[in-house]
Amino acid sequence: MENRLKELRMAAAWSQGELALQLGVSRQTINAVETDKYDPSLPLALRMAKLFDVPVDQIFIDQWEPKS
Amino acid sequence: MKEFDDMDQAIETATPPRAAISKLADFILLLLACGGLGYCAGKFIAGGDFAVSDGLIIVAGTGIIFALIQRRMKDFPVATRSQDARRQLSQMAIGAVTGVAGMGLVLLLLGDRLEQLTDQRLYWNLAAVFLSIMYILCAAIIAMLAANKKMMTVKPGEEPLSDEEFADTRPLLFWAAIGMLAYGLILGITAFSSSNEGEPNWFALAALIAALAGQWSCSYILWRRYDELYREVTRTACAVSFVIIEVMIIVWAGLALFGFSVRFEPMAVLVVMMTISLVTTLTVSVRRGLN
Repeated sequence: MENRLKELRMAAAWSQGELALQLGVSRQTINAVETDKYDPSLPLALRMAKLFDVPVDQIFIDQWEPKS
Repeated sequence: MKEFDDMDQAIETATPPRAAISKLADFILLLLACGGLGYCAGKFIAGGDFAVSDGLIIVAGTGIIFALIQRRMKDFPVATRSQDARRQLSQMAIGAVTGVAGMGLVLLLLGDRLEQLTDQRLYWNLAAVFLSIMYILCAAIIAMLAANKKMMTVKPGEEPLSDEEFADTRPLLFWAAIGMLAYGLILGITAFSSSNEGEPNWFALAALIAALAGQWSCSYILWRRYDELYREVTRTACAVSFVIIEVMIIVWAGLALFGFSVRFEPMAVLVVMMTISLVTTLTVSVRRGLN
């Protein structure tokens, strides 16, 4: 799933390490999410949304649409 | 709540994933190259005569591995590519020297035992020794990463480690290296002790259980101390390994039971299981960005 975590992190002027520290995860996890290699767990996604003060769907981009 | 309007831009600028088929082709090529080099190394260990074809296999295998590394370098940003290439080349040189020195040391220490295994035609035991060396080399590489921050390769899109982050990562690398070393010992103990037929080998059994307990302890510590990325990689690698091993064991046992003159030996099962486990873990780690 694509995401705009890097964009948000850069806007906040945080390094990957600083963001990782605030979220209580490793820097590798932040890099893996930013490079679309890993979709975070729901609790981590919610923590990201709280930290950046944006809804979850503004961080993670899902292309799925319900069938009409 | 902040609002963002440029969703499409975010989608466009996101890194496109490399095609799965390309990755599969890389993986198959790497397996072929490693298989060819392993065959030549095995022949060398067994004291076989070298032919021109062996030389060609070594040149082709090395060439393929170099080409694959160059291909993967394309993933790095252009601005840092020459710097990354230099770092990769220096790491490869260190790896080559370590590999040659390690092989020399193995032959020096275990040459007679390996010859014994060859004479007794215990080829699965020889394969176990080779795999054990692979695990121990992995442990050595991880230990080297834990020893020096400069050895940590920066992945595409990743920022360099700060001293504090490196200090946090070191204990995890240390436990990972001990875990890999324990796997190497498990294979080494079984390979060299299973040839002693007759009386039960209590010493080998005790050593095996100790190595297994050490490995489990390391896995437990890593599971508790690392974060969700490590747990996800572990879960996925275990699930994929189980599915592959299940199919292989069923087919293999079937062939052995139905009279297809296929032998179903404990050493062979162990080697196949551990190979699948190693390959799966490395593949999943790379795919999930934990490498």
